[in-house]
Amino acid sequence: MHFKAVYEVSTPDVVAEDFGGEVVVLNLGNGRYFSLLGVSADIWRDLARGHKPQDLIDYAVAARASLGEAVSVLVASMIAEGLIRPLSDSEDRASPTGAASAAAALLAGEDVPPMEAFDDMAELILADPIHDVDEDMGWPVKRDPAPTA
Amino acid sequence: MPAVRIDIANLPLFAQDLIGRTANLPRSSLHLRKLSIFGLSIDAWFSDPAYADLCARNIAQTPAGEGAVEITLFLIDAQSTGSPAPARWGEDVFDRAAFNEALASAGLHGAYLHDPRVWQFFSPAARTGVQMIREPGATPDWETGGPLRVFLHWAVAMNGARLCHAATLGHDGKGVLLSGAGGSGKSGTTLAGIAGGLTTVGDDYCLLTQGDGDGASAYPLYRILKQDPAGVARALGPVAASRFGALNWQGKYEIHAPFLHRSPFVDRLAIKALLLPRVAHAARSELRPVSAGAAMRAFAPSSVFQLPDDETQGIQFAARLCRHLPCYELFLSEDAEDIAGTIKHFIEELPE
Repeated sequence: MHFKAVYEVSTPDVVAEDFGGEVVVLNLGNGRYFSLLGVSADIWRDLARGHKPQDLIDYAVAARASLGEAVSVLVASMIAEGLIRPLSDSEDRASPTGAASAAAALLAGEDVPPMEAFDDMAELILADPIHDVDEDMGWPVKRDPAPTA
Repeated sequence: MPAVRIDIANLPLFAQDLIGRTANLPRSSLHLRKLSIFGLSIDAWFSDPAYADLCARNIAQTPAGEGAVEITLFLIDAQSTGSPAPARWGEDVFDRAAFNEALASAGLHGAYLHDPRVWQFFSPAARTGVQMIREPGATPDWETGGPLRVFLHWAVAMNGARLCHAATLGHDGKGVLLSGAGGSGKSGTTLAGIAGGLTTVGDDYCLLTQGDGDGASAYPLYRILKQDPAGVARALGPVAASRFGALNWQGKYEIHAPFLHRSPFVDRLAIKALLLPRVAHAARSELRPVSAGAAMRAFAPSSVFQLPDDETQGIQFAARLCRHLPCYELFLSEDAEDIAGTIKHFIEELPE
């Protein structure tokens, strides 16, 4: 993982809405959506504003090593889910202004809630609607079976 | 229409060609149904009279009013019109974003259902939509419970409304949204409320508008309720189902207003709260406040992912609604009268 890179939200496939205590993130590409609470929501905001993951990990490690590991796992899961992507070196990005909003909580050793994932809608995106989905049909993107003569 | 396989490159041309050719079909061979819904005056031309009757029966008819937007839809099957069979999607991967982007470049909306091979296109500029299927009845199974859903989604957007996956209950013009994925208890709660004297604009889908700070309103899309036999028995009594006909593909009755003792449908509800039903088998139904984020997770995905496009706007719309409305979880008992009474009392206590 390139935790020293700057990341951005993977728009347009990924859309996030901030409700203060919770950030809800939706991946339009696969129908999965996510909940980030407390310090995890702060970390999302910080990453979206251009703070590097490594800086946030450093704050957490200053409190305790296991907290740094928790931040690493959280950021890694965001990357693995395709919610954020690294900016290349050539891409300009203004440095974030001000301290990371998660800094105080991490330095104080506050726990990092795991990112909660929901995939109950994914089958509306991916499934064969007639055979696999039994409620309130959605929009399938399943490709045709092999053509018949 | 050429029998070709469609890909991203030829999609816009295929869509424009299909719209043009279909609009030129002789009207004498088609069946016209005039639909009036949420400021839209729709001339819907069908090749299959049974499909025409189904849509006219199940879609809510509300006064279009002055200045109605006039829409023309062609709901056509290849067999009846002597057209070539609908083309297949020709790429290994169906990239929904690329599909929508290609159509948007031509000023169009569209969707493709792979297994039934259904094409749907809509031109906002021409105010014209086309659906092409293989033969009469070759629409997806869910079409009876929500006919022309995608076209209505595209058309009402022209009037500033959104099609949402939510049920509603109301009393004296005030109402609540009931949100959640399939199986969460929306339809059963709606039927229980109706049995207890409440009104509705729909038990599965509705149209929503949001004003500038003055709240949301819900409008009907369909005049049909859906519920499984157990839910019907709970809400309406053990013999009620005898008048509702056969079960649909989901194992549910499709219930029309004339089969109820009084029509529960109203033309508008001022939405004052968002409720998330939970099948809890509780002794008494109970409402507990829930965060806007939790409401968002229940409301947005099930609405947004059931439509073929416009997801980002749908998410932003849902987020504004969840921030604006008080949100509650509704832990359900199994007693329809108790459920209806709990919701009615809750609505009565909501501010105007």
